[in-house]
Amino acid sequence: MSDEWEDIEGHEQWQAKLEELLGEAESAAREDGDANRLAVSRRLTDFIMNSWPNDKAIKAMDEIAKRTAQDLLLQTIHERVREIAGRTAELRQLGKEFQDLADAASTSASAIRLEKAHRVAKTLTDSVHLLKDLRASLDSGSDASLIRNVDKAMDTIQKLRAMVERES
Amino acid sequence: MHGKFLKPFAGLVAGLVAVLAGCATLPDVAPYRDATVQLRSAVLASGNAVGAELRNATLAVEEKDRANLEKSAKTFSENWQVRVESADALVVYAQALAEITKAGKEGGDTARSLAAALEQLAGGVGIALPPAGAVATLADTAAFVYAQVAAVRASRSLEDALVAAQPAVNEIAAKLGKDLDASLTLIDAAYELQRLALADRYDKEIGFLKALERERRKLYAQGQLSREDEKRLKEIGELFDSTKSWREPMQAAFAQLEKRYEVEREVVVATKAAVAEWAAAHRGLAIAVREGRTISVEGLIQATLEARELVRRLRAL
Repeated sequence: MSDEWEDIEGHEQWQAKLEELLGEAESAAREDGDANRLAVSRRLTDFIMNSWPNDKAIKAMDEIAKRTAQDLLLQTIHERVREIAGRTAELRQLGKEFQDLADAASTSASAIRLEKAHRVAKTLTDSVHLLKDLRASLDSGSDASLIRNVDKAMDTIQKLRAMVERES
Repeated sequence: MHGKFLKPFAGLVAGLVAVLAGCATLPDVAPYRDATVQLRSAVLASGNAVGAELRNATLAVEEKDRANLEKSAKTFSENWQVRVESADALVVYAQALAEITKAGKEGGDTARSLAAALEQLAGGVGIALPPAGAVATLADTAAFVYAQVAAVRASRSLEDALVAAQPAVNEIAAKLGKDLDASLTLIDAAYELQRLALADRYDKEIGFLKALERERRKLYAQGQLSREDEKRLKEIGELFDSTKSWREPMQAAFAQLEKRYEVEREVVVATKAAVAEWAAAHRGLAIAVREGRTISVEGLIQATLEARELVRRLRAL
């Protein structure tokens, strides 16, 4: 790979390269976009890997490059996490909205399956059996009034059944 | 008597059915529901990947920055949990759409089942039922009619549900898209922090290797090699070979970081594509129901399958 480091020789040139990168880092830090910050950070890391000889002066430059890259990257991370956190309340609300939409759709499905009519038919059938048991246990003399009411209830259920059949 | 009654009724039924049948083609929503389940897994995996990478990055920064980065990693994971919960709601919603379609397609069974329940009730209250054959004919006729009615009701309910949800679908897709863009930046930045830490840790070793490489390039650049040059090149080769014990672990550390980063990035990119396909498929479903035609959600299925494959690769790392 033909790279920007190949022809740099001596401390002065490395210093000049570092200053160029620091200038770009400063501009990138002020921008809203992340692409330049990431790109400059990467080049600052490449600076550390390519700068030589590893003497005291170069090490000092490497340290500045490292600090700058790290600050840019940390700033980017904190900003993006804040951005995501800023949308959380709206996403929570949207989640609830979808839950409501799902409930409404389930209600429609249940109506198409005639679940209410099924439930009414089942409950009425159970009630009829209970009423029949009750009627059988009653005395025709002393419980005459109750028997009349049970018969009335059976008649009402019969009418209800006819309605369920018609309506569903 | 019942048979006589049913003959003219059958003609009416046939006419009604002919009218209804033309306007109630229900699309198969099951693939959409299944793809939504996969989408939810991809959203979860993307968040896990970013969270893990941020936690890895905390080990790559200096002590004084660690606490803040740990806090950001925690904030990210807590907030991403809400995205997963929203994706859970999408799954419930897609399941409810599939239920409508299923109910619409099973109208005949529904009517038969209700007829049986009413017959049982009639027996209980002592209503004299028509002969068994006539009851069966009535039940079959009701089932036949209700099969069409259910399809029409399902088609309308499905269209209503899809139309009502479309603004929320657009909104959630846009917001998740932005979140996934931000997640890509987080993965990039976390990766760069770790690469920076490796560069710092192996600075001396990298410098030595580069110095050897520079010298070798310089010698070859001369063109004609003297005996001394050849001797030096041989020494450089030997020096390079002698670095194997630390060079290979160093290269492995960089390669491992790179490999994980690439797959994690691909997972997030694939999830973003799947979210966009999911929203597009929802729009397509609404149009298909309105126009009474079937729809292919192949694009969505492919996008979610790709995300699933990447998640599998990520887990295998």
